[in-house]
Amino acid sequence: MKIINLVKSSRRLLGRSSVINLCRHIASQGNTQHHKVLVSKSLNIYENLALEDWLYENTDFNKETILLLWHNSPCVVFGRHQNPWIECNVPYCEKFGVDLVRRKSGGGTVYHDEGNLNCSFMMKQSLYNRRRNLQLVVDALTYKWNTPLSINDRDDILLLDKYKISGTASKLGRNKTYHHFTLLYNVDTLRLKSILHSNLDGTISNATRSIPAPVMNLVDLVPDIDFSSLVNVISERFVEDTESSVVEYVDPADKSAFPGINKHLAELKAWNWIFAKTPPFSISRTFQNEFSRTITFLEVSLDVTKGKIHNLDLKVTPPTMIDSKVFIALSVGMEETQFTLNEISKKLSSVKMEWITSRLYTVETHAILDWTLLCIIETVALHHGRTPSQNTDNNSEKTYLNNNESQATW
Amino acid sequence: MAARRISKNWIKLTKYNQVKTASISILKRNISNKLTVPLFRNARSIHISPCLNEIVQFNLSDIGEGIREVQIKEWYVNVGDTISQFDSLCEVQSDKASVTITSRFDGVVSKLCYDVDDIALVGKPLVEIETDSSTDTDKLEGKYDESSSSSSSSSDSESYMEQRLRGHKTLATPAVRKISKENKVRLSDVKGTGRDGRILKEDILNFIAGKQPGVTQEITPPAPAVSQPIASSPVVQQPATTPTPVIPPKITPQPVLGEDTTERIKGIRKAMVKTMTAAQTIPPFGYYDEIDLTELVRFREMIKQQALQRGVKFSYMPVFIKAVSMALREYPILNSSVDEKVENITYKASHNIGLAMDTKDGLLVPNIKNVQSLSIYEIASELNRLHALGLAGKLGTDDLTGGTFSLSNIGSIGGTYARPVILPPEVAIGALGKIQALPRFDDEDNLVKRYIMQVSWSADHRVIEGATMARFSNLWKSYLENPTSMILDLK
Repeated sequence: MKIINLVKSSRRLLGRSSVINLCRHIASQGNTQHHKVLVSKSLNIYENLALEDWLYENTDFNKETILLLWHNSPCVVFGRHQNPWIECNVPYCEKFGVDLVRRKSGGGTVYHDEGNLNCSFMMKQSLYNRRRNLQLVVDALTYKWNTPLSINDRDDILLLDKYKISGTASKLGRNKTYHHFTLLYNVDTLRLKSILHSNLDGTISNATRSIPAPVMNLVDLVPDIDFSSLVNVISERFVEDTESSVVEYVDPADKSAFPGINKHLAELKAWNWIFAKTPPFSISRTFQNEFSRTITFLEVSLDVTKGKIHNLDLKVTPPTMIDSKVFIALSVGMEETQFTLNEISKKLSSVKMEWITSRLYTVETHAILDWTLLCIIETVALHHGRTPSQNTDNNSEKTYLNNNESQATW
Repeated sequence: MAARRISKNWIKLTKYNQVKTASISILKRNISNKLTVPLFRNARSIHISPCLNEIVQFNLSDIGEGIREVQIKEWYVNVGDTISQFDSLCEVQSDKASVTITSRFDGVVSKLCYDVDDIALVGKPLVEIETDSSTDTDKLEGKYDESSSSSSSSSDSESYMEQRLRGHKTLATPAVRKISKENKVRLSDVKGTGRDGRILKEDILNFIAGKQPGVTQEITPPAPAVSQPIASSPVVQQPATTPTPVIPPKITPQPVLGEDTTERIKGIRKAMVKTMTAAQTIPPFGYYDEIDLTELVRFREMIKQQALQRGVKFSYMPVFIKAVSMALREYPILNSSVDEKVENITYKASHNIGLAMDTKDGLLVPNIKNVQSLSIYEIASELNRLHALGLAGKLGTDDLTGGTFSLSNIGSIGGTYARPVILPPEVAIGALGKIQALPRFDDEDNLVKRYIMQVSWSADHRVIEGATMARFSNLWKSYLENPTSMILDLK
């Protein structure tokens, strides 16, 4: 109350701009929070996110505000309500050891490697202000290196008003919040572009979609930017105007400093959290081929809920090309299969055994049935390597599938 | 006593415009039976407890940053779950912020106001919780910061609102503070056993009953029976004197009726609106006939096996289409097109026969190009292709434009005669009914079984005469009734 009265009276006396300065002064005076900067020594994304989580749960934000700084070895981090298979190339990541992580905050998908700095501002709810955090970093960088940075209305930091160098996400709870964002200073942008592209087509999903943007590195403008200089510049700005100036280097694997952090770590690494938490989605694709001089269409559709396949449905036109028992065996056999290449291949093999024993798979039908299996593999898009374009009237797909037929290991 | 409390609460409820759950008459009736009040809103949540249950609407509080709406992403509770204060209710997302909403009340969840992926509005009810009556109905909106009660205390001069116990602030919900106030108990004297050392209702009651050791007790005699909250005995006594009659509220159970829904017409349906409105300017005439398809059916039986070996399922439609094309050769005016002002008529060279298709997106009419130079087998395969594309919703503009004559196989769904609407800029259209086995008389007056299909033609009377249509139909009919006669004119 007093402050409002003061402001009102001073406005009359001093004029508007002076009042703004007065307010700023009062606001900064009210900042009696202890500001702490923590820098993680680990390059493991799971450990770092577990640390962030641990701090979120175990800190008294009435007493302190934390800035956590970290970077990781290559990984893809997607938002709480996103679909990893739609957002990035999951089989590529699994093959080449790129970690896949679901974080607890919302927002879109980002690619990290050691050339990306993550900043996490953790404070109580009344101090939550994303723009102020971003502005702090922008001011710090501009002051030191005169970089042309700006913040757009989606809370992205842009270089030269065009290239996105930072993506933001936040988590709010009962009186505690964190706002974290990336900062691209020396990331492999080619790899970023290729990994953040999915081969999965024909999906219908309500999961949050990422919005792609052109990216650039800070190092393209300022060649001597690196992790330690960024840490220094940003933490200096963070602790200035406050009484505290603590910058601590921490190791998330230290269980004595962070008791119970293993629980968070285990949760983040679990398949159920990373993949099964995906909101339900469905895939539908149509394939074309020619058998016995007849143009045949096969429509494959399936739902994926909690990381498992449900309701696999196949339709062939003309309907007489494939016996319906074949499809029934497939639908039943594939129900509740975990959405991974291993599990799907295993189940398809066992369904094929069923076909063989019940004489549905014969000399006459083997070509079209093998093709059906290939279409299912194509639909889930979990196999490694590149795939051609997915249009049904694209002849190259026909030859691709025909070629693969001969190499099929069924 | 209970009634007076009931009426006091009643006034409070009406004053704060609460959702009421039961009428007082039922309550009074049930009090003596030690039964609870049945709830009209949710029949499943009848449970045994002696107090007046009320349903509280828990509104979605302001998340900040000017956000007015969020999307529900996951529910952590279901209807019927018992929750305590500060339990997580759901996860919502707004613009990259993922927020965990926690409950302000203890109680049982009676309604989830939104489904997953719905948009929830700030300030509107998020869940409905059935709580016990001692919950203070003043503070309805859940706030994140429990210590915000200190900011609201500036308007409250009570010294109980903010107390310090050994340098710590005592944590207690407003309901508990009210009880402590009523009983003149200092919160600092009570030991809290709840989460974070919070003082719960039970702690106050235990304190009053003198069960709390180690803390200086001010043994106050229990307040007069009137203001005594829930005593240790579970039975609420009926007052000796008849209380003043309170008028029960009017209960209007929701009628279970359907609701009108309105949606914008868009996409293919909108295109249909446009086409049909344009078609209205054409003065049509209808010509109806029935075709004896017995010979064709016999023909099909013979051909079926052969056709299957070629990988084609033989159906009648390709034969009809080919017959139309052959008949159009004799009557090219039916394969023409007039311009808007009806000044010029263009006789189209190729027979692009359109087929009306009912797809999941709506009515589409893709056409088969150049039927005059296609064999029946080729027409069948084109038909398959268009059908498959139609099912997948992938018909291209090439397939959908350029038609010169249309057919609608309404018989595949059912029906005999129809009055099809001409699709401009064409001048004629035919609707084929169901093939049915019907009794007919042959030349020797015997009753025989015949396969009959009805056909309904519509044509633009500005350029087509009735006689032309009739002759065309007769020619088409003769081709179908005698399939072998098609050989003579087959090109």
